[in-house]
Parts: sequence; structure tokens; C-alpha cells
Amino acid sequence: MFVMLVGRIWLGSLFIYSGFMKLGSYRESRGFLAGYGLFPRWFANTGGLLIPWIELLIGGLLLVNRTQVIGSILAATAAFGFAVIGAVTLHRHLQVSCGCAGVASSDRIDVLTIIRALVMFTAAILIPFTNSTNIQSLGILVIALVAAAPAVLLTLRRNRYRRWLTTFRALQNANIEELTALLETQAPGSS
Amino acid sequence: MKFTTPLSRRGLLRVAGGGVLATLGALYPGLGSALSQKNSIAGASTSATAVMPSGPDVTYAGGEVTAIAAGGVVLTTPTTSRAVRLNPETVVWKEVLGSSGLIELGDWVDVRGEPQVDGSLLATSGMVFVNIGRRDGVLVSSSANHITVSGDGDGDGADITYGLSASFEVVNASDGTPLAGGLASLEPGVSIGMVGLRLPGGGFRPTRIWA
Repeated sequence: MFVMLVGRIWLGSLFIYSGFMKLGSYRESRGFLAGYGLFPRWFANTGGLLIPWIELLIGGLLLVNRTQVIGSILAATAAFGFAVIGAVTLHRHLQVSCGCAGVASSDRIDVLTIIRALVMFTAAILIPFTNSTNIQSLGILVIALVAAAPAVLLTLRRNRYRRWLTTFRALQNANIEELTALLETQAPGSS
Repeated sequence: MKFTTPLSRRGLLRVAGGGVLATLGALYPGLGSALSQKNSIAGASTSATAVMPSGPDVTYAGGEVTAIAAGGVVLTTPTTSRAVRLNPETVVWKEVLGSSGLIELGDWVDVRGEPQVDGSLLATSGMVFVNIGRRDGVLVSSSANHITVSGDGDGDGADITYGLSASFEVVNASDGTPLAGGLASLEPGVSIGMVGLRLPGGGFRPTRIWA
């Protein structure tokens, strides 16, 4: 069924996209689970470390034809978990960033977050009951690459920014040294 | 009467593009900001540390002290640095009035002075303020060496207690003259303003209070 194929591609690419986005800012985004304040710290920290890898695994399992059923079961479980966490967070009026895509998604958890999780859950539980068209290996590769592209773009941009900052600080330090030397000389007179 | 306006091709493309991006953003959270995220690289240049002041007021300089030399200090902001010349007799405010020796690396200094042809600023004595800060609020209570105010601009309206400087004074807001009776003359509930020393860690110690 074409619709379910689209759903499977979306779900698979979404998990891969989300996993890569979190890995792209691993240090910052691994603490997002702790931000919900729902879990013991050790659990939140461990979960924060593992979730990007689990998402990549689920995405891959969903896209590979032979493993799509196990992938859909895991995806449904994850999506249900997201929906429950989102609902509890919303119910407690907590202003928490969703962290769905690492540091790129600064959006706070809202109704759309829960609706998306429920749509993911629905799509995931429907996949095993339909005869989804097989995806060719090349297609899987293309989908995975496209899903990873935003994370690659973000990482490149962050690295570029770090290089720029290093250069800027070096020039700023040189400028401060120059001004310090200027202060050692007599003032040439008021303008 | 005409209720609709014709949509240009560009407008139509813009609406369609916006719709596609919004849909993608809903399907893939954070995608929009990942693809269009801007940082300070845009419009910035690594050669932007101009010596000459480019702000509207060339008689003012403010920034963190990043270097101290015999003839003055270098003040640095995130975008620029400027040399400020201090004469040995220049009076500096750092909770108390004193010499330029009070200034330390890392202090935040605000200066008024006379611009020099080499781009530096010759500080005017008495117009050099080190780590000066301002707070406003409503007086809740006071004692000989503490004052508690609410609505301190933090937005949460929580009461904050400040330790007072040993040399604090209470003045009339309208003419700056000292208020007879000092702190005791202020009734709880009155709006007050304070200037004082910003302390490390976000603290504040008032030196002058006006009502």
C-alpha cells in the first residue's frame, strides 16, 4: 500500500533524522531527558546517552524490509513513550524544550508534540498489518542520507562557527595587546 | 466591492514554500531551524575589532577590563576594544572614591572622557565607574545594614535582601540632597532606586538609595 509505504519512509527517516540531530550535538542534547524532571537522574543520563543510538536503530529497522515489523513495534513503543512524557509534561505545566532533534528543536512541548507522537504511534502499529511495498537497498540508502543531511549541515555550521570564534578571539587579543602598547605611550593630544 | 486581491506568482510561490516548510517542520521537528539557523557569523567580520569608536557617543566607553597598563586600561565588549587613558590623579568610583589602582582585570568599567586623536579616551576624573549597577524596587523593610525590596526587575516579584555599603546614603530623588533620618525616613511600600557595586556571582551592594 502506497500510503503505508509513505508512512514507513516518514517514520524511518524521522527516527534517523532525530538520532543524527541528537548525535550532532551529543554533549548538549544528552541532558534533555533530565530536563523533563520525570526520571531519576541516573536513568535520565543513561537514557540521554542511549536514545540517539536507539532512534538510529529503530529508523534502520523500519526501512529495511525484513526487519520492518520489529522496527514498527519498537517505533510504536517509543512513540507511545513520547506521547505519555509529553502529556505528563504538559499536564504539569512544565516549560521544557522538546529536545526531539537535539539543540535544533528549541520548541517547547505542546499539543503538536503529542499529536505528532500519536500519529507516529498509529503509523507504527499499522505497518505490520499492511503489505507495504518493499524498498530497494539504494532507496534505503538515499532516505538515510537525506535524513542525516540536516545533522551534517548543522555540524558543519557549528564547526565553521568555532573556527570563526577562534580567529575572532585571536584578533581581539592582538588588538588588546596593540591598545595596551598604545597606553604605554604619551597621549598625542585631544581632538 | 472587491474582496480579493490577485496573488502574484512570487506571492503564490512564497505561500506554497511556506506551507511546505511548515508541513516539513511539523513532520520533522527542528528542521526549519536546522536549515536556517543563523549565528553570529552572519554579517560579522574577524577584522571588526576597530580601535576607533563607532558608537553614537565617542565620549563614552564601557566594557570589561582586559588589560591594565601604566597609562590606563583596555576595555573590551563582545564587538570592540578601546584604550582608556587614566591620569594618576583620576578619581575612580568603586563603591568608594579612590585612585585608578582600584581597577582590576575582569572589572566592568563605564567611563566618560575626552576622545583622543589616537582613538583612546582620556577619562574625566570622577567619571570612571567600576562595577556600578542599578536596582529598583519597592521597599519591604530595612535595618541598619540591610534593606529588603520586592519587584526588583527580575519579573518574579520576589523579595531580595541586600547588605548595605558602609558608606551608603539616602537621598531625595528630586534634588539629590541627603534625606534627614536616612533609611529610617523611608516607609515600607515606597518605590526606591539604588546604585551600588555589582558583586561577583550576581550580588549587589547599594551605596546610594533614592526615593
